[in-house]
Amino acid sequence: MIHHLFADFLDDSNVYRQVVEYWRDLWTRLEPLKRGQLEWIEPWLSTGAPTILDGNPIFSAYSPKLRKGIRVVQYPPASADDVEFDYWLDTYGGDITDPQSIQELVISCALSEESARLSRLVIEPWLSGPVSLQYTSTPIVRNAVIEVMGVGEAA
Amino acid sequence: MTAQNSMPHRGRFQAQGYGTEMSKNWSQATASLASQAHCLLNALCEDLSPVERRDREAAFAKAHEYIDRGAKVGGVTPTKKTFPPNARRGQPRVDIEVLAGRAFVPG
Repeated sequence: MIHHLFADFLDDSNVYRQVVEYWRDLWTRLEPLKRGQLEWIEPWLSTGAPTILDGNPIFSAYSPKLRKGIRVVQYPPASADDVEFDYWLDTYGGDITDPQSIQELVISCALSEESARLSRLVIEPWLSGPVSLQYTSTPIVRNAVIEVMGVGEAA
Repeated sequence: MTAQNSMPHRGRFQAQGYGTEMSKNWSQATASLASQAHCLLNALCEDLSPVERRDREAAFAKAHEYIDRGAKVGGVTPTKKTFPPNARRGQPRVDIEVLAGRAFVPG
């Protein structure tokens, strides 16, 4: 049984604001010293307009020092039994060979206690320093996913 | 900084996943119109193979919807959107990046 949070966030602007605060709170609890040292800025990207409340993204942050970003896309839950969560690396502003591009960690999830825990585990090493592009295969992240989801990798 | 990068209104559409990595960029002096954006997104779609296109049919539809939604609010500011929002790693998707300025203004 998955413990969903704010499942109706797309239907109620008050709930939507609570979700935004939930992600901000999650973020501020992670590595405060390193976030300051590495000059992480939050928020980074909006949904495009203040009246577009689609959760795409629901949270974002950016470190100009690292040229790294984090973008979380949240969607309503579709399963009562499965953790709906995945993450990957992408670039913003150009392809990977473009020195001006920003490496971004993308998390796509339905928010639940379980996916929030996974998000923390995935974000923490990403924000802390110059993690390589093989990030998603590193033991720390792989083991985190195994621990929470009980599988070898995010589906 | 290249002349193209110095333009105040920039962005790109991307088709990704299943080994596909194609994009169409805009870079211009004035905000991109919603009609121009629909054309550019259609051009990206047409560059794909029939299978790549079929795999992203719903994602392209959602991206077009977002352009229309942006036009209804007078255009959008820098953002990045992933369609479908519940995409999984490596699966077919369409991304919209508004890198600078405004995009999808009515017209």
